[in-house]
Amino acid sequence: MADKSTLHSLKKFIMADRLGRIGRFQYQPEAQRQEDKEREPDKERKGSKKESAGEKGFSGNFFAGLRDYPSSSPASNAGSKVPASIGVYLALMIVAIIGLFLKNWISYSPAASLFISILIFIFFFVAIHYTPEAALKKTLVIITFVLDLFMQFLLGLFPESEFKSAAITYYVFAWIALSLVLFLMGVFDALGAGQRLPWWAWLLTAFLLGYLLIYILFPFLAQSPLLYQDKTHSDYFNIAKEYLLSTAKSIQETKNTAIDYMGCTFSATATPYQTCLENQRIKRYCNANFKTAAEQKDCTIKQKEILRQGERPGVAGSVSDAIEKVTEVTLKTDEYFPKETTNAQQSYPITLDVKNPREQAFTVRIDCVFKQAKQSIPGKISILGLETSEIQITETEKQVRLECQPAADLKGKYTLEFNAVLSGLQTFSFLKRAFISGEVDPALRKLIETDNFKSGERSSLGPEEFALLNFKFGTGSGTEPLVLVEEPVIFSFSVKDIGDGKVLKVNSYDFHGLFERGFSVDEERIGDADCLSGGEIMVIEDQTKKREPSELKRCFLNLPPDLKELAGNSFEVETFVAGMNYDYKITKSIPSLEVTPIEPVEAAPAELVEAVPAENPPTEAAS
Amino acid sequence: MKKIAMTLLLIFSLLLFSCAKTPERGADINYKQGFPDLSIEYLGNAQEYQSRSFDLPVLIHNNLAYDIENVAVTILGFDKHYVELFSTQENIESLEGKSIFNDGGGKEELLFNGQLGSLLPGARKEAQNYRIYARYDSKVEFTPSICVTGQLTGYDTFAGGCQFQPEVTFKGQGAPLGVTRLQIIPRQGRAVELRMLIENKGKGNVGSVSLGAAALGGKPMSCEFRGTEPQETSLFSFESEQKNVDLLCTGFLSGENPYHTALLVELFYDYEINVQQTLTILE
Repeated sequence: MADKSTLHSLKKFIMADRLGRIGRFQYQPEAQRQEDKEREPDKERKGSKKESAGEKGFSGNFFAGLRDYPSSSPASNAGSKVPASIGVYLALMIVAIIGLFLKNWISYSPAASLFISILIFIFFFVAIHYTPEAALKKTLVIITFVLDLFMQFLLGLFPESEFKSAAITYYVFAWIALSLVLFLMGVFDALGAGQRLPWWAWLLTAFLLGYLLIYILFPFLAQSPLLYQDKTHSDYFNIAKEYLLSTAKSIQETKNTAIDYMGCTFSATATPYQTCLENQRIKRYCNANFKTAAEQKDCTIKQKEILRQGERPGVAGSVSDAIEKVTEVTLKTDEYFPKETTNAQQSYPITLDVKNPREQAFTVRIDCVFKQAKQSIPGKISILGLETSEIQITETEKQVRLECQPAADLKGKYTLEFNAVLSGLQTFSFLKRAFISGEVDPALRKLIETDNFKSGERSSLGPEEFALLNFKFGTGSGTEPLVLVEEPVIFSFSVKDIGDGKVLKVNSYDFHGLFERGFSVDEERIGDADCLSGGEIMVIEDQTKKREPSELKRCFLNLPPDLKELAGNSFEVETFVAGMNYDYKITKSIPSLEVTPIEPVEAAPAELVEAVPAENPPTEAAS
Repeated sequence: MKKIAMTLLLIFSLLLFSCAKTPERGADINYKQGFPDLSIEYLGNAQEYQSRSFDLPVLIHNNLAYDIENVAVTILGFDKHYVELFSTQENIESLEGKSIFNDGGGKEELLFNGQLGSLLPGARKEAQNYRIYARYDSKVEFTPSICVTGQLTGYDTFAGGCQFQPEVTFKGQGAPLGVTRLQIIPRQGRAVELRMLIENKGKGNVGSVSLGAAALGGKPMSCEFRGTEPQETSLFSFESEQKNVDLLCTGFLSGENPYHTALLVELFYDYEINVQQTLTILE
């Protein structure tokens, strides 16, 4: 006859068996268990993985006995054993990485890739089956596999596009991403069950979370509405809403949707794929911004023209770290800014902060407007009480406090928008080139290139402010730093918008470094005669807001005689400087201004006013 | 006790230091070994201020065991926007090599002058990389005493005045260019073929090498550089990055058995070496 404690242990055994934990709860009398425990103290410490692996023999499966369940019994309060499933997730990560390398090794050949994907799927599926709470994880594995298969079959059908790049990215990293997600899920499972994690699992978790925080979450936050830390928390919702709406609007108006991608995929035989996508985008933009069919048609024609202009070849350039004196103009509000007011004619202050270390002379013209969903009320700008909106800047630093007062009474919620047009800004850029003859020794050629042109110095450089004047010239397309003096020299330039505002126009440009050195426009070849210096050029965002902005002028150049005569191993290294005068617009938006005017109180009848003192004797008031 | 210990330590240190070998001087030193290079040293400031004239002093030091001639020192690579040199080349007629009469080798200081341009607006400094090139004409002599034999086979046994070795290696003759390997191949009729590997072990480049004299045991040899045109076999032009060439010579022996004899090969060459420097221009 079994005694009471034996029966209790037997019940536990049955329960454990049902839970698939037979390895941990084999039937043993309590005394025997205690004795075993004392005999094998190490076994307790080594964690459940070893324990399970050692005792799971009955199932005949590698992954059997890996389920980690929380236990309330003192025996398993050992509870804090290292969960075996963590090891499985790590193994899956390794499998995913091996899969990635294998696929790379076989150059993603379709049949072999499919075979590898199937193997990975089987591995993941079987492994996950024996982990706790497997249902959700199995679903994730199946979804990943299905999408993997989907991509395998469809990638070849897609023309080159952003969508295809995204699909390829998914296809390449899907299993690694899944293994990371499963690992984190496993960590949370284990912690929730009160189990102890091994040091390497902590390290890996910290690494993953740290990576997420530093590289994904923080950059996202830095660009998100939470950046507006000067706002009260009650404003956050509105800011976030506006942010999301503007993003959605931007997507709706300017980006292609999945329907576009699909539609253009199937019509790719009729119209080139990219053109089809652009046409769809233009159609959406014009429909969203214009009401009548005629206006929409006009808009479409105009947008297509812009697109045509924007399609001109690009001229790259970048910011130079060497130029430390950089012009900055910002519009700033302070903590006293009246976000809520009862005054319908409230003046809203803002400070124009200018840092002008290169002592440029330019003008800032400011306007303001109070915007609601359906109407806009212009504002009047005043500086130190004087109604003026123009400020001349010549100093190295200047701060001007100005105010915007609405032209009409305000009531309700507004977004106040300050616009500052900076007229006559000057910038410069420079480009280094080495001139060689075609006869130059290959070793010397290599030496010239390595001595003078680091990776960032092959294109033009300029100060990090508002707009960059990019230019290139040389042999071929003009991007090579070594210019062969016997070959035709092509030249082109563009303007790149690197600020948060908008380049309005180029007032003038001159590549004095070139023409002062003796370069001239080769008029026998096709090109713009005014490509080395000229006046106003209107620019549009499609031309300037690109990684490689569209060229504005292009021509061929004649080399100065001394360079033309270079022969043998002679060479010259020279930097050429160019200048540009331009207008730039910056905007500061202040959302959620709340104006609640006080309703005027109706005047009380005279007899009632007089009667009040009689009802309230002075003595009472005095007391 | 402490004083005794200190004294002993001092004596021990003195003994230890006095055991150090004194440097060889004068006649004890064989200058014609190794692969020394010409040294080029910039003696000026690493930083200069913008928009000023500046000097660029350069020291040329001949570490070779031979005199060098027609030395042309050139400065190249400056960006003309920032640095304008009044003269980019200076010449030295000759510079003595190391010998028992001048164990330091000849030195000469050259001075280049120039004008620095302005930095770009907003820039505080600009680092300019440039190179100092030195080109010269010189020679190298290969004068070992070698064991030769007229026996076509079985020559590896000691028979006669020396132990014949069909291949001998050398560690330079005091110039960047030198013979590093000699193969001695006996031919029919007391003839011997000498194959010499001439290598440039310096940091610079050899332009061309020409044969001055070649003699075995005082008797002239006929030689040619491998890979040259038949009409001009005694002159070889190195390709860019090329570092070696074979010189094949045929000489005649005075006997069949192995014996020691003097080999003389004199090579004339032109050589160019450069060093990179950086000049930082400050605001």
